[in-house]
Amino acid sequence: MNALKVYKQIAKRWILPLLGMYAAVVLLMIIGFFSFDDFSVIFEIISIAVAAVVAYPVMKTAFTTSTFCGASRKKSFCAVMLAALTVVLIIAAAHFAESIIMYQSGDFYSYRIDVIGEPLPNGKCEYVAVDETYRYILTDYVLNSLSFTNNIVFMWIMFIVKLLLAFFSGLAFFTIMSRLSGTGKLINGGVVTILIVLNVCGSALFSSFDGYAPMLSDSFLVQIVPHEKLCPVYVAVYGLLIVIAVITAYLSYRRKPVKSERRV
Amino acid sequence: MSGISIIKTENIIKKYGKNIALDGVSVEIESGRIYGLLGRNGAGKSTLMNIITNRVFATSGKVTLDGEDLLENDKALNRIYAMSETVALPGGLSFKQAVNITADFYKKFDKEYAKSLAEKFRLDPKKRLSGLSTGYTTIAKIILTLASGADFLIFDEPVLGLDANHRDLFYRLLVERYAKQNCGVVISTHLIEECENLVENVIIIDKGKVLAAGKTEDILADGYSVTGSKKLVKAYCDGKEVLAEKNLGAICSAYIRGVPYNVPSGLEVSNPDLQHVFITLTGEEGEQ
Repeated sequence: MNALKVYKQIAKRWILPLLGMYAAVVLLMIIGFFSFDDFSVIFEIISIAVAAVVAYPVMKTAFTTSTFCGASRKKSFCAVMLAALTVVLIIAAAHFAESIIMYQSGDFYSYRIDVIGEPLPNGKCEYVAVDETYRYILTDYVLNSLSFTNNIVFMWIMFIVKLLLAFFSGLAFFTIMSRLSGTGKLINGGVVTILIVLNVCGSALFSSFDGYAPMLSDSFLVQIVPHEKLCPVYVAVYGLLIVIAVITAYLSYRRKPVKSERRV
Repeated sequence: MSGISIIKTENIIKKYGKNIALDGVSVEIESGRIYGLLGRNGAGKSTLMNIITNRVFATSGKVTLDGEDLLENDKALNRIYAMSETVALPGGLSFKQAVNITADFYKKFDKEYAKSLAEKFRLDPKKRLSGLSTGYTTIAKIILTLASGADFLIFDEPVLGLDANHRDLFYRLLVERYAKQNCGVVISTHLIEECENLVENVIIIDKGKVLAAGKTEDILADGYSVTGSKKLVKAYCDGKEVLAEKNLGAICSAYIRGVPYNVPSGLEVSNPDLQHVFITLTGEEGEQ
């Protein structure tokens, strides 16, 4: 129950405003305030940054509420996990809305030409244009495409996973930073660096810009993992990164000292 | 609350790097009693209270409530409310919001009582906590603690910044609440004289160690002071356990463990008060 009570405080103070902010962005999209071509490119980057940065006030609220009101660190961390899920779902929902609005705006067209039936006696074929616009919007604007799969469900799942990684990396980063005064700066600095590298690697794994960073792009995985195993390996790699981030965040959160502020 | 509940700390050690804040602290805090937790600045009082309430974790040792481990134990933690000088509620809250949040966590929180206390202390419930003066910040914390309905109330520096009237009001309200709820109360304060008549039990901590713990009357009866000429005092102290000695010109005063006997004429015997005992036990060379 205490986890839910702490979550209630987080929701009141940070999740509802975040929801309001994303609702406003979606509304602005609906009224055509944004040019999708320009906006969609940065919207995803902003959302990843939001997922990472919002971890700070979430962690702070959970920590202060729980230490003040007699909730254990374990329970308040459960509240933080719950908040992570909510934040990620809000962001994913906004991106989903973006894709629908883009599709309905009619500014984007993408067709796949399929052959219908058998070739005609004269050797010619009949073709039909299949509307691929929505898939095109998702993979080219809303989600980062993966070179080894066209499976939209998988891409959505990986988008959510990527947001989770961003949140927990942010959480780990901020909790460690808040402990810097109390513990070895060198050790914490090292952990922070590792986390940043992990997150950069994790984010870059989604990218197919192998020209920029071949070791970090998904084509790196494509080269070393058999094609049929790429999806599960991809999930496993991300899962591992998230587990590392969550464990680091929890350990730091659990040992986070109460700052010596003379306040309520 | 039915029966007596006990918070027990068993051999608590807390290290901050090479610094040892608490060194094997074992104390018992019973419900239905008022404890004075006394110690000099940096003695480890706040650390002990923070460990009891899981705000910091001990390096080793155990804290239990009625035999149940308090570590990460929400059910047990909800039976303790600690007014700390170090913990901040999320910033920007009004006192009223702080009351609502606390009431969410503490089932027995009495909102009406909190409201009446705010009126008594003339605290505006709509005021943001961050905008309160030091005295009113303390008052806000006092009200939340008194109204929490918890079985154990812990006050860390409860009179910080309070004027004499508010201090008096606090002591009266505390006794009222204690009598009504029969809760366990721990007060950590430097104003020993003010709370001497209030505390039934005393725990004196110095440099992370418990110097004395027990009933106030027993601790006071544990020693006595003799005052007189240096020569007489020195002679009388020979073979006795002298806890402290103070020289003031030709006059000397010694605090001796035990009961006075065969006191020669020319020496004045007195029973020290709590403050005197505290200063004697925790004083360092050059301070006395």
